[in-house]
Amino acid sequence: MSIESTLIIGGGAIGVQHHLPRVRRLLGSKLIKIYEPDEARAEVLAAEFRGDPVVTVHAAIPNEAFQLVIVATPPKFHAAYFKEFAERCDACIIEKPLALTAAECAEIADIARSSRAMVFVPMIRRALGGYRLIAELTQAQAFGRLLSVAATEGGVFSWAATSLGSFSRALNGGGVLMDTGPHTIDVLLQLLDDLECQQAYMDGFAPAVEANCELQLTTAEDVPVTLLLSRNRQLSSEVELTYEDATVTIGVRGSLAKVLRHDGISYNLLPADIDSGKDPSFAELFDLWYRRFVLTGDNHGVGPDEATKTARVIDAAYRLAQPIEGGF
Amino acid sequence: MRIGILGASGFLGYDFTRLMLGEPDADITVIATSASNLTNLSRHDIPIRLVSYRQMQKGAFGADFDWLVNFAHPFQPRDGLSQKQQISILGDALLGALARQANLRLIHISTMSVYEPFAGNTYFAESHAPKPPQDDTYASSKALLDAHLLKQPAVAERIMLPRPTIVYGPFCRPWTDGILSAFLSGDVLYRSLDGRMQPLFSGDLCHLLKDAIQGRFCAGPINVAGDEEMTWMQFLSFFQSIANAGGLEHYDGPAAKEPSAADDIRTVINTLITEPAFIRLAKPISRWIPKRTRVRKEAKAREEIATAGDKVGTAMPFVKPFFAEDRLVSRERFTATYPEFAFTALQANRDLLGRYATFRFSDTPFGLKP
Repeated sequence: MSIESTLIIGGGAIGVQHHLPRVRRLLGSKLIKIYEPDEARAEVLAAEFRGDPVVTVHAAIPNEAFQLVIVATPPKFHAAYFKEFAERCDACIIEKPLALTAAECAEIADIARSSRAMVFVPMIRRALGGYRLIAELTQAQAFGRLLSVAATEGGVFSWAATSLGSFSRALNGGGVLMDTGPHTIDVLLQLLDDLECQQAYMDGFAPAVEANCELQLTTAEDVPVTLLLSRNRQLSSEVELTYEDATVTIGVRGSLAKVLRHDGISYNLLPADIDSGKDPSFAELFDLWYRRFVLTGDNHGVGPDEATKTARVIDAAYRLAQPIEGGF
Repeated sequence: MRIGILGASGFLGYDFTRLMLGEPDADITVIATSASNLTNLSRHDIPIRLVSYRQMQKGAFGADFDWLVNFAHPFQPRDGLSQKQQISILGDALLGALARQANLRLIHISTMSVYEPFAGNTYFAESHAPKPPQDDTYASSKALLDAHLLKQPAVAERIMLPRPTIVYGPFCRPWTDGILSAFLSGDVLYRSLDGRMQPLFSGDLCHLLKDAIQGRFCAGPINVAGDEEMTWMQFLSFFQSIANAGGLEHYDGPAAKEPSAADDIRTVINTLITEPAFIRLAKPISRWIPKRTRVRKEAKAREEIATAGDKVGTAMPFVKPFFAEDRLVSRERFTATYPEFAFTALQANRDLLGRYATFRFSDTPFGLKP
């Protein structure tokens, strides 16, 4: 996909520090406009990009058409901006989570089907091959029947947030379940096809947001799946799949799977298209995602329908949420 | 009672905020200078005002509070301002607020570190004039802000400066997470852990601050030290027993390398080369730089950015001379002012810290039944 003109809506960390360099470097965009409605932030950005031949900063929304529009605002505004630009761009990257609720996500998916714009949701872990490989091996019952799955993802929140968005129920829809959650649930959905939320525990409720979230899910075959998400715990950040004949562990941001057969034999699995077993950094993963999907113009697996499936699990979790007792 | 809390995103500020949320007459507002660390706070229904140092420069708070409690301290350049500039802005903003509102009182959390360098078997009193060495950035910058706040006699009677000792408790990076994670990672090396200190539980400090607000205000600097005196060996051994992992191994090898000027230059360069403005400026001359160098630098910078947030606590250099030295403060003023204040013994926090270690460093669910 060749991109000449790009509009980035939202001048926060994800838009400016992560999308912008890739639009410039990987897509070769010759014109990049950043729309930042907060005047103070727009001023800071304007100073940062002063003299840049490609990038300009705007405090009012541009009204022309662009080849690529990137919606990098808090999720509350995603649907409205997409509607505004659906017929004024060829491609639209809408940050995850696609929208505040599954209903809004489904609406975006509906509009996308009939509009000019191809929608990409940066589920960047879709660029990793390990989950597809395990999904195929599970399907083929290579390790026997799948008995249970336990997934965790947690670390001390370190995103260079420039606004209160990530901590606002109104803007973000929630806490860890709305920022890390879509990625981890998407990993599980790559492995397991379908998930239904049975129980949910959290440590923050509206109007506050949760830093910890614990979910009990089940697959269509009734396999139990637990998921722990945290912004303030050091969790192992792995998915452990227990089968009749083996236990398979894979990092939530990795491609290398460790297989421990119950007869004592263990080995590593690595997809052939991955160079090393080392987990890619966030920046490398973002690059991989751009190359694999945006650059090729292929949104298979990273379109609004997949994001809607994730949002349905999240919606159910918030509906069922009970307080976590005894945490910190 | 309207209370503005600065620095509430840190472990102490958060503990205090949570404690005050249980007080029915306390109307809390958090004043945050950055949005990057609001994880714990955002779990509660508290108004948060995001006020950058630039906005603070314009006098952004003060008139609408009865109390300001400041846990904030700038540690690095931000918003294009040096650490010194930020300290000056913060100090002026706090003093400005006191000047504008006659009933406003300020509790500014200082530190025992202002007494650096400590001396063996010496208990430093509040009357000891702080003069930490300039190369001790933490201590000297804290002393600078203390001095800034105490420079105006007209408002000095409305400022309380608690100087806590070694504070430990949930979410404390250096003296709880750092120690626990060191043991959980394996054996901990030390040269001498004979230095004596007076550990202070974060909850105790927060209760003291609450008492101060509720009628036991004490103007000026006041040392706040737990009533147990122990060696670092005793303190670390306690955390080792909580972690139930790792060991303490005596180490006689070469001393840990102190950062040199060359390291500082390297850090500046590594920071600079990731700045978009620098990259733009450097682009025209980049073709003269060998490609291999460019690729390596970019990969390293990316790796650093990607992994910067994954480290809990700091690498604990327990082989440093710091742990061989006494760091003691006088408790005279404190015991005279708060004779009935009860401190929590280290051992009494065993269960709490054990649960915290499980929470912070394991995959144990706290809601779902295992």
